[in-house]
Amino acid sequence: MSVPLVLVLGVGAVALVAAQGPTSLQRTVVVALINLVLVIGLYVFVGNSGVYSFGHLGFAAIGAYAAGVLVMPAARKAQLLADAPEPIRTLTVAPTVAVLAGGLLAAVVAVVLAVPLSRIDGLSAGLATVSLLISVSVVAANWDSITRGRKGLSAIPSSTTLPTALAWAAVAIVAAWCYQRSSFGKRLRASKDDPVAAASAGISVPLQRGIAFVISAFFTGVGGALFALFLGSVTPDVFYLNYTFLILTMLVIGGADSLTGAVLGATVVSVLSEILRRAEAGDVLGLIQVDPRPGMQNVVLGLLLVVMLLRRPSGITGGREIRLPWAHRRHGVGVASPPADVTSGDAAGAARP
Amino acid sequence: MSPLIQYSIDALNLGCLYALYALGVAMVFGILRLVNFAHSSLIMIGGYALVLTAGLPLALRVVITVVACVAAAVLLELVAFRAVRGANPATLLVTSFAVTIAMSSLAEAVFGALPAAADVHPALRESYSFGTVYVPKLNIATVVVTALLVGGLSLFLTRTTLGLQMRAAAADFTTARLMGVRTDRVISMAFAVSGVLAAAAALFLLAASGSVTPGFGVDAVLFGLIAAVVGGLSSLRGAAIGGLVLGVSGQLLQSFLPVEVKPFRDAILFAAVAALLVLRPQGLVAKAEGVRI
Repeated sequence: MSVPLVLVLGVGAVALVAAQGPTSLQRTVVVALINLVLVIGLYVFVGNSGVYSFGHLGFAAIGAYAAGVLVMPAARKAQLLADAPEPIRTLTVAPTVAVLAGGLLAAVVAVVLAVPLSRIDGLSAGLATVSLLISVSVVAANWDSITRGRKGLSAIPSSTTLPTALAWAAVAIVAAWCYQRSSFGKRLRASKDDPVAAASAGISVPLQRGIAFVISAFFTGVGGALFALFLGSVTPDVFYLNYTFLILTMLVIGGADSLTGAVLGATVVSVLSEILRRAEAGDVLGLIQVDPRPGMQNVVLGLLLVVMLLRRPSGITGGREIRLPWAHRRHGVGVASPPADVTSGDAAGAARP
Repeated sequence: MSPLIQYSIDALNLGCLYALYALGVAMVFGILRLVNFAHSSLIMIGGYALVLTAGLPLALRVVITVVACVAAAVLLELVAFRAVRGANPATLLVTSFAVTIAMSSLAEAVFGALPAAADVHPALRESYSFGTVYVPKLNIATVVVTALLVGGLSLFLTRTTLGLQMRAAAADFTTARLMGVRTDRVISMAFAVSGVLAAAAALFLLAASGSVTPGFGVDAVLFGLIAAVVGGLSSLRGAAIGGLVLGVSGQLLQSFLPVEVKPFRDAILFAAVAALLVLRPQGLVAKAEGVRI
């Protein structure tokens, strides 16, 4: 358990130091922690299965709308969502329950979706998830009685603070680690290295992928819910391609094969985006004056991502988990040896005719 | 009878458009195993090329647009995709996604986020009417040009040496190279063809919408990708048929769904796609192929 412990402490330390800054920086820290939850949500599926999903932010949208509707006081719902069905209009729950409910609803949708996705091969499945993204945004934009359509939900009482975001980030890190080290996680990772060898060893690849998909959808839904309860509003186009791109960039830059990579990538890109955002506004710590151009942030991030993929496709961490010097000494070979280093895949590959 | 004819004409139009998008994606995928999200950037470049040349005669604008799209496609391959060639499909996929976002953000920085309006040709806004059936000239142009492009493409792929080499490369790249097929030339050609398809798509999209934004073509390519998955990702015929099927069913849903459900058309369409994938995971066209060891 030393890896998640170090990651949680590291994230906590960075977040708390940054939160000493001005209010605008504190808000950035909370957003960065929410993004971290989303990245870990995506990592649980992508990192363990090796299948890239482009539709995960659809789950975040589901979580966001569910939590937003659930926490709104009944009186406000009577004004904003007058046409909603009876239980939705009167039911109001505590923020924590709403976040959990958002995650669970996303997970339920994932269970349904896992059936068709498990039938097709990885590459097509990743592309097919795009249809989830489009579908969710279409439904959100048109289901006026619940989502208020294009206007979006607003006046959601905001409750996500630094401690809640930090707590959820910690839960996500620990849960992702436990899953990855469980027998389910190991089976899925074996299928990533060599699907044929894994299947011949009795592993049901579709089932394992489905399990990861559902867990991953839960945390992505939680991330979306936290986001809604932080900003106080959700619109149909928040969780779309640009956000998908940001989360995916975080994962790939850190290294999609390890939990350390996911956490590190989220941290590095968050810091970088904040600098770029300030640059877009005209100055970096008063040092450099840049001609402000909207969209330059994504250009820089996009170029960085392409360069990263060209020069070091396995990300900053290269698929390794963080190693503790003392743990290394005590156990000889390193307790946190990366699952990606398992050589069974190569061995099975070499045995091919 | 006449509403039925009207519906079929509309459906054929959308089917042809989706087939055009799907073919552009499948062209590159067949050879490189690269799912090219950045096809949308080519369409976007075509759109801006048409906007910037707004005063010129149509034929010249079309030529400039095609040249711009083909040049951009070949250049993109050279700069972004050549270095990751041979990487695993997931890396390629993320690379093309990154290129797409970088390009659309670049367009936002250069041209601004607001729509840039331009007209392709005034005649394309008119329609022929036969009794109660209205046939927009744009639809006719879409169907005819798509048919010509698909016909030309299949002639090119079956009758010319380069086309034959491309098909060989798509079937088995390693063996094709052993037989003397030049990798770079074949891949550049595939991108160039996808550039031509993108130019056509840009033309029809702009004629229908009247303006270009930095995100121009992104939704089109997303539908094209899903259409290609529906048809079977690895064959051009599959992509064309997938596009046609997705477009026709989308338009038919649009026509026959009750009014209160109509806005949810795309969600219903994708639910149908999911159901189809359960029944035919390999796509509509591709033959079921076991895992080869």
